[in-house]
Amino acid sequence: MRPSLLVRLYPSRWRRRYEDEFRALLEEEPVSARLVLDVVAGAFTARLDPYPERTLEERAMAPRRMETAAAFAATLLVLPALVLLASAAVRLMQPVQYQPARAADAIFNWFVSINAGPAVLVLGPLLALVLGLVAVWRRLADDGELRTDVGTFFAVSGRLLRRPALVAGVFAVLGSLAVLAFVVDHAIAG
Amino acid sequence: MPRHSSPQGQPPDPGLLILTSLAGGPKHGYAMIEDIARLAGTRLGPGTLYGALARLESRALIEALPGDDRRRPYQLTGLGREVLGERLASIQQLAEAGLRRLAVA
Repeated sequence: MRPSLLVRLYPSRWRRRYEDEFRALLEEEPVSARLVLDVVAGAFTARLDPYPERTLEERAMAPRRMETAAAFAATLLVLPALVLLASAAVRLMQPVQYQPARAADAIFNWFVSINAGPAVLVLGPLLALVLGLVAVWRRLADDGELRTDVGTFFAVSGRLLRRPALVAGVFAVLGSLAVLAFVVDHAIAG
Repeated sequence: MPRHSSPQGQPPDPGLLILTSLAGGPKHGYAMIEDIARLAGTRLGPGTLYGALARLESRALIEALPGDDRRRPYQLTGLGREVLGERLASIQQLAEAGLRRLAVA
């Protein structure tokens, strides 16, 4: 690894002030594990140190990054529960000697063997719910344009749902396309 | 850690080493590393050096000078000179007291 790439580990406010001269110094130093460790430790320390101060734009971006991290963390927390429930459903719908029920059965049994049910099905989704709500609420609170978009989305959805013929027609089209795709797939696979 | 220990086995304070190096005149990063290696037998890593430089600069003990290329020299400020003088005098006082006690014992 080129040590100059490690400069990206430093916070942007630090790089804005020191990046050029720091890169110039790294280019003069012989590459070694000690150098890499030193730079990584320096980057960690720089993240804890408030100097150089962040610009107004960086201060505005920091909460947004937190919200993004919270939203992705929530997704990762709820994902195992979705996989577990999906595998449980698939193995009930088909004999387990056939795929995809065999894979689903293996996944389900693995979850059972590690005894992770309460954590995966209760704790993870609860944490995901809190993190997801916080991320959505903060993003909506900060962004008026986004609030307008969300309002428009619900208004349009409401208007569409008040037209039963349209909803039934769309359901029929999408449903028949899915069934036909399934049939064609099975016909090709033999 | 990346920073070498001094011959006494105690890792020296990078901030003090940098201030002492800059007491001899303005230097950029690489020149400081080489000077400190000659001065104290300790070679600072780039991450350690710039961590200490940022701390010293935030306390207005050193300041950056305009560089002719990507390398930027630093120099002591008046406050930095004063702080360095006080710290070295304190170390000298401690060293003299310790040496006197060793001579008596």
